[in-house]
Amino acid sequence: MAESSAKLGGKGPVLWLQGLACGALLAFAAPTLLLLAIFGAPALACFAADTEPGRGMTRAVAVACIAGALSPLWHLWLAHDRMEVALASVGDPWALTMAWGGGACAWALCQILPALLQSFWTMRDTARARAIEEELKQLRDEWHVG
Amino acid sequence: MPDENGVVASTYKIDPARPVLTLSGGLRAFTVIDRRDTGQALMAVETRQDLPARPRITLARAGTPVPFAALPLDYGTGRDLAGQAGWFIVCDALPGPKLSLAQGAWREQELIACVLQPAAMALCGLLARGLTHRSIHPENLFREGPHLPVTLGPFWAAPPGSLQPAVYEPPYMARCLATGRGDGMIADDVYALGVTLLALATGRVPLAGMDEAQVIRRKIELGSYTALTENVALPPLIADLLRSMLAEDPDHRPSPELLLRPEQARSRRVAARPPRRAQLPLNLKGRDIWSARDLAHEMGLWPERAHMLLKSGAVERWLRRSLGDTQLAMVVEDLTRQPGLPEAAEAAEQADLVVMKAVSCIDRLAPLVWRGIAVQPDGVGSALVGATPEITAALQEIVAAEAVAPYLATHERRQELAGPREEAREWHLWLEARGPAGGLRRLTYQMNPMLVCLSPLLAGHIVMRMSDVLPALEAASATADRSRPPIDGHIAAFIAARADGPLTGDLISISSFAGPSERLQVLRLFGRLETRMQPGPLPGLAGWLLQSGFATLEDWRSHKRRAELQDALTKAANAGRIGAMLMLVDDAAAKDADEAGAEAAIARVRELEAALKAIEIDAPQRSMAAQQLGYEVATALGLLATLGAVIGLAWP
Repeated sequence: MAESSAKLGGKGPVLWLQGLACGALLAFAAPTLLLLAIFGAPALACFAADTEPGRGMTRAVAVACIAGALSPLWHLWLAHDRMEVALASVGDPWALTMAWGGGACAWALCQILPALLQSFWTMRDTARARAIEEELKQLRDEWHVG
Repeated sequence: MPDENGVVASTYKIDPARPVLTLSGGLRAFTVIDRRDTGQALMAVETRQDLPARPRITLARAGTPVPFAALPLDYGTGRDLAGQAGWFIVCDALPGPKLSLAQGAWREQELIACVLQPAAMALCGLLARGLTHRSIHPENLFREGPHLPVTLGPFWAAPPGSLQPAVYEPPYMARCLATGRGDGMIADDVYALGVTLLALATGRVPLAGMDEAQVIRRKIELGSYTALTENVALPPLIADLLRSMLAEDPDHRPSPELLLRPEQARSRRVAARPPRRAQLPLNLKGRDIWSARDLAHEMGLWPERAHMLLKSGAVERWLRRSLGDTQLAMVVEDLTRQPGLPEAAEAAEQADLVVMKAVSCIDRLAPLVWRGIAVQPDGVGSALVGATPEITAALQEIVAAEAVAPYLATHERRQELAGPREEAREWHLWLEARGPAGGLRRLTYQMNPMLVCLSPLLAGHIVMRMSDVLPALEAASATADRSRPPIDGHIAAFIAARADGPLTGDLISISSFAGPSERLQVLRLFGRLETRMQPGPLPGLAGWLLQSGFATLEDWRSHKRRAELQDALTKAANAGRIGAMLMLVDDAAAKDADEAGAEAAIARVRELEAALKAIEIDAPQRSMAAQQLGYEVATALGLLATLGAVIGLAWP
């Protein structure tokens, strides 16, 4: 037990709780779990691929998928969490498109926004460095500063 | 600077094409034209650099004329026929040829009337002015023709006694270096006049054929009168006069005033005690010594051997037992028993000091002896000029040991030497002073006020006074190597010796001409000289200072200001205004502002360099920050979409 907890990097109890929650969901709300699993598939894929600390991209994709899955979930819960409703929602291409499209948009933003920001900041620093070098040149031309 | 027309003091014109005669010592005299058309016959004597004129020449120039003596009227620079610059002294033309050219013996009456009385009258005049002649001998006596009075020739163009043959000098003067005989006393002139009378009376130079050392030794052994008049038949009056004029002790010689009345002078007899002769001789370096004066003379010649004899007590025993002079023996014994005589480092100097003191005690007339040389205390300075390295070293030791003071302590009666007694300490300080304004050169120029500056930088231009320095350098700048400094040790020492307080202060702080601060000090010195002397524009010297780096702006920090100043400096140099150059280079307020500006610039540069470095260092961190911010924005948008969905579901 202690060895497996150490292997998981001290996250053993969290995993256990997550497993327990999933087990509870599977036992008492299997349709909801199915719906979440299908609609949240991009977030799960992102979770598996994202190795960065904090998993910022996974978080953004998950939030976007949840936004897309919110309407089917609402209808599932109004229908008392029945499996046929869940399967109908999963089979609804529009609902699936909304959830997965939201996840894709979030992923795309996570790719584009950092590049845009970095480009902007780089341009700003280059301009500043150029101004500094210009001033340095002027000072060195004007003064014997060793 | 010597002007091209050979004009001395704008009043006289030297004609180098018309030489008048050559005086003793090879001094050449030329005809001089008085621009004021006074009709006065004049001549100019060209001095030699190794024989500086007597410092008291100004004293000789001033006041009423002295009869039968050639006195200087003026002095200054000029050019000889070869175009060579020289320093000339103008005086009345001499009346006729030298007496040495006359053949045969003179009659008693003519000797008295034409030589003795005019010379005595001249000596009276010189004595009244506090001067001595020190160059009385037939080569330097002139007269127009037979039965006319003689005139004493120039005596001011060389150090006193330096051109006087040994036979005409008393032994204590003849023993000295030729240039180190000092002003002496008027009694020494009386002695020289006596020998001159003897030479003219006999028609030949006494003791001719002997060298100087033999002449001196013979005079010491026999006494001057006996040595000089041996086997000579003299008229009775002349013989009586010479007996007193050639007395060994200067106090026993008649005064010039008394010589004006020869009959009275011959009757004046001073009872001088004959020198005591020892029963047994003392052998020193193979010579048998019989008298105290002889002993002092030989001890001065052989100081090392003399010191050994003194230490062993041989001198004291000989004085006590053989010579019978107990008092002198006790004095010598006291000298050799003085405590604290060191064994090693200063032993040689102490030995010289002991020998010098012993010689002075044994012979009260003896000159200052040191390592085999002899000088009079007031002749140390002139002896330094042109001396050999060995003699220079000995003279330096005399100054360093302040040997003049203990020497004079044994000669308290010689009032004329009071000056050197007080100055001995000052001489030592000059010698000890560091840098180009001190040391041997400073001492030499300080002790020889009439010595021209011997700097090779002057390229033959004569510098005698402070006012000559800048014009001579300006003239020399035409051919000078301008990469070398326009000042050297000679010029620095000359200025330090001739200048007053502020200028000397500038020089004392200079240890060399290499550092920037020293170079600025030199520029300040030239600037001050220019302000004081007002020599007019000096473009050559100013350019020389500029090119040799003495007016440098290297330490200015602002390039722009430096370029502006460089332009102004070049213009000032072209205009020959050293003072203006100094004002540009030595502007303390502007320099401070420049320094402050440079410090501010340095601070700003450091600040900017740090900012630049921070930009480079922060680049990877900014990449991560952009990524995080991008993720956060995407998450925020997702949350907004979620919120929108919730609102849409709650209020369809």
